[in-house]
Amino acid sequence: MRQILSIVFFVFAAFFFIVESKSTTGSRVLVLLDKEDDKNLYTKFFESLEGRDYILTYKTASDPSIELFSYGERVFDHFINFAQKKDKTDNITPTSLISFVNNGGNILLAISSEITENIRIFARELDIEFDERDTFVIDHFNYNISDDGKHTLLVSNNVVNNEAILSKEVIEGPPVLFRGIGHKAGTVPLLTKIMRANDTAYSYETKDGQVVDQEPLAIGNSIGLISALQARNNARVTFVGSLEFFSDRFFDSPVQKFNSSKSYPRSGNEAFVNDLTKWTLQEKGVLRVTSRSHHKEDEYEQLEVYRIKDNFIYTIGISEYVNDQWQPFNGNDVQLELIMLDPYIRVNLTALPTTKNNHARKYEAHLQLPDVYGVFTLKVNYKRPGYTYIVDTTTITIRHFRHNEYPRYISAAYPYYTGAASMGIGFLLFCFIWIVNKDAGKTAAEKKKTN
Amino acid sequence: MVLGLDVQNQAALLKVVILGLISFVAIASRLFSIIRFESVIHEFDPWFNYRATRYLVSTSFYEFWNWFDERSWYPLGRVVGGTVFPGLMVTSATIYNILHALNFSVDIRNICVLLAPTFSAFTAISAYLLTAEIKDSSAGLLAAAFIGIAPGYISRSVAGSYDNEGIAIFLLMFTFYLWIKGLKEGSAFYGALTALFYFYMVAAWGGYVFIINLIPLHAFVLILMGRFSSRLYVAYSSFYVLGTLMSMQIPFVGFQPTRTSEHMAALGIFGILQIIAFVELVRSHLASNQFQILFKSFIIFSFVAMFSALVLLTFGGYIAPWTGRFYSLWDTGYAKKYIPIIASVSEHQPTAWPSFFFDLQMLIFLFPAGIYLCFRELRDEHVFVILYGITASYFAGVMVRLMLTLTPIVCVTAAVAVSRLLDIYLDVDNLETERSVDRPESDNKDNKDKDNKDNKGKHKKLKEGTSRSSLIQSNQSKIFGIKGFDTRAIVLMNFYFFLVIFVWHCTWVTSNAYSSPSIVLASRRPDGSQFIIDDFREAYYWLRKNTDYNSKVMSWWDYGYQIAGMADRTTLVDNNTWNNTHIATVGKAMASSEEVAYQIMRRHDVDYVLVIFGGLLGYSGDDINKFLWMIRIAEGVYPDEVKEGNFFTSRGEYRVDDEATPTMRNSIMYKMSYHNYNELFGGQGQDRVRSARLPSEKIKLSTLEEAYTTENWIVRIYKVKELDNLGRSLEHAAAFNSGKKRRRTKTSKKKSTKNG
Amino acid sequence: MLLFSFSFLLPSHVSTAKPSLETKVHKLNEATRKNQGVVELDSNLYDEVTSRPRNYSIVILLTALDPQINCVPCKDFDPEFRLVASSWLSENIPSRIYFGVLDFKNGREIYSKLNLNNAPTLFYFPPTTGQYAKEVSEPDRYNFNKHGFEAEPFASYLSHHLGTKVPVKRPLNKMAIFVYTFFILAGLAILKLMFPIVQSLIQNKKIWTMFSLITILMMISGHMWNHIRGPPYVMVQGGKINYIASGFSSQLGMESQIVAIMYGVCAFSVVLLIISIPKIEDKTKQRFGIYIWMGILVAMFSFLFALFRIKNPGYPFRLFA
Repeated sequence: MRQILSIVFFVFAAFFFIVESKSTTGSRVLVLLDKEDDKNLYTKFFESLEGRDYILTYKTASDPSIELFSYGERVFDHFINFAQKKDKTDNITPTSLISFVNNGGNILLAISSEITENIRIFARELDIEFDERDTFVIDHFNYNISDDGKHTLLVSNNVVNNEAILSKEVIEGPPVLFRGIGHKAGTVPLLTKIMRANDTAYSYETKDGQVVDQEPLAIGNSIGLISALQARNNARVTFVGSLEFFSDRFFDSPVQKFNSSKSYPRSGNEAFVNDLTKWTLQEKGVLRVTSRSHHKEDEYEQLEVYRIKDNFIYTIGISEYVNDQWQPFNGNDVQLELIMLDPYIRVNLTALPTTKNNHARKYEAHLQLPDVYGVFTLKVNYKRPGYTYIVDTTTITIRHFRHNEYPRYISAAYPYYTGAASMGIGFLLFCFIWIVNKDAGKTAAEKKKTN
Repeated sequence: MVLGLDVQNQAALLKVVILGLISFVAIASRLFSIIRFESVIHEFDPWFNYRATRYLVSTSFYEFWNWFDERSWYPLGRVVGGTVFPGLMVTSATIYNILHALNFSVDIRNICVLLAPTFSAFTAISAYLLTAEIKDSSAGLLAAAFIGIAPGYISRSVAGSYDNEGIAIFLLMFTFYLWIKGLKEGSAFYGALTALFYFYMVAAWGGYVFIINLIPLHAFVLILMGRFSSRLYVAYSSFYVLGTLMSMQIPFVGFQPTRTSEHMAALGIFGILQIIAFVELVRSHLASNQFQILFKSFIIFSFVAMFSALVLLTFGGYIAPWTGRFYSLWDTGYAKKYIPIIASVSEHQPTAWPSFFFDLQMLIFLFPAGIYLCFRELRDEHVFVILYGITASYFAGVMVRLMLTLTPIVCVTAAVAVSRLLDIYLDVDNLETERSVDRPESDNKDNKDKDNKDNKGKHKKLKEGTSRSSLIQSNQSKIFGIKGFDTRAIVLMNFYFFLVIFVWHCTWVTSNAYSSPSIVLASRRPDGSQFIIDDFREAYYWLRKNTDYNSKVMSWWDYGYQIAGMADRTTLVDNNTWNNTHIATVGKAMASSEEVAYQIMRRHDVDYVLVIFGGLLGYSGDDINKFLWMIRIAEGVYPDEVKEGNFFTSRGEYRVDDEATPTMRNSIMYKMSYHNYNELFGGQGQDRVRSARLPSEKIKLSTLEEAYTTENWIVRIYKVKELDNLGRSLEHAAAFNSGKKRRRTKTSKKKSTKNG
Repeated sequence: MLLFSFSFLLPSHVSTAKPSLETKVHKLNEATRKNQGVVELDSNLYDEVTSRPRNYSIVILLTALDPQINCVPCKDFDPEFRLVASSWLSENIPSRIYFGVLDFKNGREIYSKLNLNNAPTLFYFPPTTGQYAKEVSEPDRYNFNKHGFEAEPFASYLSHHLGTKVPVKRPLNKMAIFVYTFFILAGLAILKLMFPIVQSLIQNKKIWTMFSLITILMMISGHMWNHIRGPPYVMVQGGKINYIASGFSSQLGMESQIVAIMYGVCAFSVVLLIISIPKIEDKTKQRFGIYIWMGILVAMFSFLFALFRIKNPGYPFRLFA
């Protein structure tokens, strides 16, 4: 009995645990470091994560016991990689990372100029091409005054203006410090460039006395510094081209751009990282469909089969995860499509007002079903950068009129009704005369004989 | 006195017993497939009929009537109630309900399987009735026996072949019997009965058009022969009016009887009959010669006017011209040129002579003899037989499938010939002693009230046959009968032998050619034991058990009904080929490269693709052999994207080996058929159908993955992959998974100089 | 003026220098107007008109009308081709598309250059410049196997490429109409004059019987198959003449006739046994007749079996072992 109780308790505890974590997808985080001691360099960062109820598991890259999967199940919900050294044990391979993402795990990759080949290959699959080892992003116009002369300590506020990812304070707040490798993000629509280099930047090795003689991978603002990919299953992978970006040193460092009089006592890195991890670990920009229903106007039962030209109401509820709780979503550009091979109808869903107790906002559309029968898909395909994708499909069948749904008496058929009626009356009349008039029967019989 | 019955009753009893035995034989000889295999539904179309019947039984008649089937023709759906001949399903459902009302809990499947054999017994009986009207009841019994076992009819009515034709031939024969009966008696009652069975026929089979054209033709020829009578008028008018009104109650037929050319002949004859009847009426009151000429010209004028009105209406678009399937019966080259989907069906090919012999054996040469005998008598019903014989033989020559409509009339005429022969050579009266035959008066009377002749004794019957012919020829020469015993014996023995061989032939053909269910194949192992190939059902059951209920399966249309029936999954196209564009789209997907096909498949929400591959086993009816039709049909709709010429080598050959064209090799049909096939052989695969060695390079599929392949590789099922989660192209993703890392392309220059 | 006509008459090597678009079009227009819409080409002219740039489409029929070559499809297609050309000329602006014909005797070089060894071959050259130019500028080869040799499918092929309707106007053959009406009238006159004879013919049962039986015999011996599939009458294989095609679902012309005759003989003997034999009064004659006709029937039937066994080797039955 006690055993059972303890199991129940354990289950409850686990349940509680998951519910209480700040992320919507889970709280188990694997942090990979080069050395165990390295975590002292990023204390503030890790503390803020732990403060948000994440369970961090620190491993070194050479630890052979690293497993992202156990018996085919994902053992961590998120993966943060700070390790830069060439891995001796190859537990973290591009393939395993890809299957981690495909299984819904989120990844935050901090990369320095010592990028490993595995990470590079993984990034390449996501259409992100990092520059060669030992290259840095260099900008002779936008470096911090504390730079060592190589102009690699960049000051940037060239960040994406998307409040789903970064809060307004961060976008408008103090610039951030960045030192590291640049990359070039491809054209895959799932990619979001969160921070880019300035127009004057380029990427190259910084050995002394070197001359730029070849065409760099990317120049100017096509150099990506921080990019993220939200996979189709909503798993998020964020690439940060700078490891120091997360360090306590950068968090606390003052910022003053070269040739600029404006100086800030602390860099924006901490706030930025805070938002970035929140987004990557699915704490913000997360939408979900809470309910969906459809029915005929002035009926309330959800059917699978409707008739052509029925008046039809479709309702969908969407909520957004904001500040650790589900709240009604505020977007007003959600659309509904009615598709059979091609969209037949595409309408904007109207947002209904919410009350305080609501956790989701209802969106509604009134429409008349088309005059075509077939199997139709009701699709809400809401994809906005920064937000998780909503692709919600329901199929309904639109059938033709039943035999008894056509109008019964139509004016065009009056001649036929008259014809049938007169025929019937005539027949009765004829029979009556036939029976009453005895002579008629006789003559007919006679005629038959003569024939 | 046997059993205390007089001769008449004995004969009646004997007839009943013989007919009962014939019915038994007719049913029994159709059971080969059940004994060999099991009680399953055969072929393709029967699977739809079976599925529809189950739907009808499990819901109600009105539900069936309004059935919108969303699980076929995805995503268009099919209005089944309006596009189906419901007669077959309603028949079996009625039988089912009656049996269940009587507490016989018979499975609906068994009713469906055994429906066609049961109706073949009814066909035998109606053949008996019809032939008895044409000649006499002994010929009728022969005809019943012939049609009971003739392979031409068995081919469509073995147990398990649950198709419209199974009941339609019975209805055809019975309608014709009622028509002859109505015509002979001038009875509105029989005319109405004809209409009623015509309605049943319309509900059961598209071949009803044969009836609605043959009966008017018969009427027309009778008019031309100057045989117009009030009997014809009454029978035809009651049949046409009632029959047309009733046939319009079938949704699939609807207003066609008033709007399509197929039905116009019947309407025209109806009009002519009214005019002639009116003229006859007037003439009987007026005697003047001038008036007669006037009336004749009036008839001719109205005929011409009606015909030209028909032509004008057709050109004006008020009356639909002949539909493709019927039109291809007249213009035999039409279908091949313009409707590949009709031309692609093997049933629609013309018939070579061996098929006639195979299906009818000795009946085929007794058929002209019987027609000749009909010409000698040439009563109204014989005119009908002759017309039926000529038209049906033409149709059977144009389309293999219509052998079915020829078979009954061949049986009837052959029975007339054989029975006449037996009449003469068995007629005991003439043996040796009797010199000449002077028919007594009573036989003349026979001739007049020939409708009563069923009640006459068997002995008299035999006489009657000879007597009638003697009457007709009495002014030419006398009949002396056969005098020698030996000559009688030799003819009778020979014909007995012929008949025995006919029975052997029929049994052999039935057992060897027409009893295979085609969803289960049988072959022999080298040691002679039977080897059952059950790949189709294996694959369909895999689909049924391992895929989501709402999965959409794409396959060539041949397999649509089977997938819907056996696997219970949604299909894109099926054997009801109502939408050519949709079929062409599937054909295009099959004939295109992976990228193009993937777009089509995503658009149609396809989850699985099913192909039939016979290369391992040598099963020649596979998809690669049907592929050219897919290409042709696709090219008809998408001429810019699919080109038949690209699938032929420069020498105009259709190859699958090393010389196959790049388009052929890139088509997903080719890839799906031969995917992993080389690995089975450890080198180059050997295609046993096309006796070709495959190219040695490995076939790569990136948008599809193999989901299941049956034991003998006949059915291969592929799953359509989802879009890549990371936004890569599926080709890249597949390459990555197979261990190929993507190369860095853009900065290769830099890299090479650096390394160097 | 002099110069122009001179250049027009210049020998071939001049045309190797690229002719300007205007001269080409001018030339083509001239030739088209002169020759009812068809430009007769030779090797040089072929190269010239097909060279780029083209602001017009051109279809070129490579044919061989020389009676020595005896190319039947060439002769079949030639009038149809000209028909389409003249129909186009009468309806539309000619400069949109031109119709060229290159006969083998004028253009051996082209044939060898294009490596062609069958005629007729038809190429469609799409325009390369101008408003109708398309991305594809490679010539397209007309598929005779698919489209056949008639004007209508050819016109629809061109319509497809040009994007406008290419008409086919078959000229009314006045002579033919005249002849037909004459014959119909004459036929009607004869009908009127000889009405009694015609009437007796129409009402003659024997004629109808013969007609019906022959129709039926033709149909059941696979005449329609011959009509649709058009098999050879006999097949000559290695010096031997084959009357019988191998395979269950094919036949030769001769073969189906043999079968029809055999069916006929069988049916005839059955009819004789039924109708004529009982009418013979003399006993010996009758016996003789029965034996003869029964013998013929049995022989024919067994021959039929033998024939069928050739077609279907697995067939187990026969009349005589």
